[in-house]
Amino acid sequence: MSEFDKFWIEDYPDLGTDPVSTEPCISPDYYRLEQERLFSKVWLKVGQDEDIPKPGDFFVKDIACCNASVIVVRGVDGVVRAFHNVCSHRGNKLVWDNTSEGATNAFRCRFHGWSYGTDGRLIAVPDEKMFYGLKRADCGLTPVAADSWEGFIFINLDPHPAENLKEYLGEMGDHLGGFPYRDFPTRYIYRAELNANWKVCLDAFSEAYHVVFIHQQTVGAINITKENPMHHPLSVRLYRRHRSAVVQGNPDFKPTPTGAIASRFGLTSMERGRGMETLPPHINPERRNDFNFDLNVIFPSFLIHVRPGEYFTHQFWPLGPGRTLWEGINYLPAARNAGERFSQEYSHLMRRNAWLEDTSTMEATYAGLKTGALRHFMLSDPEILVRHGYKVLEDQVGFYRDRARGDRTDG
Amino acid sequence: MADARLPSGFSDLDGFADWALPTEAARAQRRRDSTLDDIRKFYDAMLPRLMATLDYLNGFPLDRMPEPERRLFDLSLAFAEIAPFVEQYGRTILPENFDERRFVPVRDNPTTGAR
Repeated sequence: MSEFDKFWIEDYPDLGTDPVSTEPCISPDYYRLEQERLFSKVWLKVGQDEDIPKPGDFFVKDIACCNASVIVVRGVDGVVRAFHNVCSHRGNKLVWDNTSEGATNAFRCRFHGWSYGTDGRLIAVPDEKMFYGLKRADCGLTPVAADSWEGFIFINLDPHPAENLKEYLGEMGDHLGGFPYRDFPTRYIYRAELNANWKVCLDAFSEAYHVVFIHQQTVGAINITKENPMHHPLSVRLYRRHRSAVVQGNPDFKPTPTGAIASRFGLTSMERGRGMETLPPHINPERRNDFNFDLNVIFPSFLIHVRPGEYFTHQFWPLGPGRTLWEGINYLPAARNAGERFSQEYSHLMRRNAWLEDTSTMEATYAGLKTGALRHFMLSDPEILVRHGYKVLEDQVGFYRDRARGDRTDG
Repeated sequence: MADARLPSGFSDLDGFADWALPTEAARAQRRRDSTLDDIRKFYDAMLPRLMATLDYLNGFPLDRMPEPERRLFDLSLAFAEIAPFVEQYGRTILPENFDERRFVPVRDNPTTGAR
């Protein structure tokens, strides 16, 4: 057996090998439980320190699946806090600004003029004397738990989160910690709204079985090696909720004429074998030259992929049981000259093209599942991250647990 | 047109100066609106000049280029947009059926962290 044909299930036998139900992708009841027990209970990445570098900087993040709108603000004391974007007086939306970001000393409700400091305290109430014993200290903005890790800001909509962010990230925090994220301040950001369940989108980015087919003309040749023709993962690590795999690259890839020129001016996404020394010791620890990237899924739907000279992320926000906001970001160093900027443009456009190929399957897959024709997914061993995803999702959501107990919401 | 000129050393590319569009969205739209023959002509003319173009532009500050140099720079970014469609796809749009216009570059890429 070749080193590439390992069955990773042997390391994680508890996952089982049965086909996996398609029901979580199409059941409105499953989605309702995800809203109630998943997205409103776990830590969700909403931004980065660099988004709000100065005291008073803020942005608003709407989390549609939880009917939430959250203000994330850096206080005058430098501390990042989050609050529901809801005035404590009559419940009006506090920040209406179209761009939903800016800098301020105070948030003032446009309905009756109540004002709040960047720390959430109620600081002014017009005509305050006409209230009946109003205590300002009791009427601050409703806080939302916020914390940061490696410059990524996370929030948790649970008023009493079961774990802090460090505990939540657990081993994944250790695995991905220490990557020099701050060295890559330039972002190339794409968004698309997709008519698909969020897990259909997530799953498409959680395995490399599709690369041989969907990416044949873009990133196929650069990743697939003679020795590993079906592009099996080089390693797999499954944690309590999060998951990780190493995706192979082809170090013998012959660049296109444009790719070769782009590489002379910068380290592009279309290169293999260069820059391994820039990785922290536990990423590609053997410094294999056929390492492409470390694929990481932070539960439930935030992906951080790291490789030499860059990293890139995906995030999937449910907008409904059959609609998802996808955001993909390429993070690169600040370009110092035209050559580096050109190299980045080529690099991120090659990835954009691959992402366009990826997104092309999602709506059709979801439409196919919605027909009800398919009750189960047959998942291969290299798709083990997908299998793990459904397992840990059910651990959190408990849809089948409830069903086994005979619980019925409809009586 | 006098206001669409490239730097004097690159006047051989003047015929393609209308590709020098300032945003990724505009360059991608131009690619989609072109024929394969259009993008091949641009590719064939620009590829042999690409190294010289970038070496020349590296002599100017990225954020303060004079107009003709800025135009040549935008032209090189348009080349980055079309090159894979010549080198890899042999067509002007991706073979899959996802409508690229639904794929939105946010804030005219790139953004640095600072808002």
